[in-house]
Amino acid sequence: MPEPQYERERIRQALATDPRVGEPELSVDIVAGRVLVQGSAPTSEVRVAVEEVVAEVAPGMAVDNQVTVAAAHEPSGEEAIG
Amino acid sequence: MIRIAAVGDVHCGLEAAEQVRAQFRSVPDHADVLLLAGDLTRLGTPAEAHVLADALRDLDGVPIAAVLGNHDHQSDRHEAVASILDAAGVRILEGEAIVWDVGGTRLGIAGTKGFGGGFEGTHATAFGEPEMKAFVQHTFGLAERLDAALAGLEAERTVLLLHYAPIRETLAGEPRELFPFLGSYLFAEVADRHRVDLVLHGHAHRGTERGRTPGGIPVRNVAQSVIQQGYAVYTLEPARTRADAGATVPRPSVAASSESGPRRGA
Repeated sequence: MPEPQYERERIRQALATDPRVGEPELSVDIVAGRVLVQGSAPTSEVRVAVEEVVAEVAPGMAVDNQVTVAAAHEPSGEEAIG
Repeated sequence: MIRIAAVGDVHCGLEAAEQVRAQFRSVPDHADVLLLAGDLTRLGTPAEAHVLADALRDLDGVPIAAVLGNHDHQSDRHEAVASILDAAGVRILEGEAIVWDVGGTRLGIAGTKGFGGGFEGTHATAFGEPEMKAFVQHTFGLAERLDAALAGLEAERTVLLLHYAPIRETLAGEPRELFPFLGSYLFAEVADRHRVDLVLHGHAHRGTERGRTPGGIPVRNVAQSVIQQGYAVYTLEPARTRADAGATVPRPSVAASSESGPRRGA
């Protein structure tokens, strides 16, 4: 297995360029042998795809998927700029 | 009162049709105009653009303007993406400014994707390898086009719409190593030179909503993951001429276009 620093970046590059995810803004860390992914995904489908891509790039490593789907509800107020 | 709905980084994918339709359905209840701060699509494909276009097509005549983001360039089909959205009534701005009449007030919207390079004191320079020169010259070129567009704009209130960030402050929360790829101060300088009223941007998902340019202009990072709602709403008082605000003489370099009213596509 490569050093975790390189593995971390290899996973991050895959999450950016694999069309199932396509999110270069996600952060990846390897903590106690587990792949920790954080950030925001546009839909729950993309959030699930994060785990698929990590499983292919780093087979055998557990994934801690902390990616959240950005809220899209109606605004609760407005801000007066002036 | 001018009510501006704004969001960036929607990252619309093929699976998101119902989600984006629900996200924008309420815009006519809350706002007079809708501004989209780039990364309209996830992978920049025409099919994704059609999904978003369908959600934006009938918002009760609310005028919509947008800039593209880096995601919209991912498949090298950004011209098709822009064309599809334009046909749905979304005015895509790149180094251009338009004017909408909003309740009798001339609201100017100037827009560009923007780009990276960093911020004053440590901005990348056009020195060395051709690739580095091209990177920096792309940013300078976009800023010059925006400068020219604002020079030709006659409006009472003006909003600058970007994808990349114009200041460091709204990047707070992002790793500092990424800052040169998240924005450029050149666009804050243009905003200050022309005394716009509000600057909106996206791109910085882990950033902070509120900041100001060195000249004091409010900057809002409206990346959806930052505002954590379908869109944010900002209000502007209707009357303030740019002459009153002390607009300065810019450096014209590239012709800009302007329009006298909302442009709605077929």
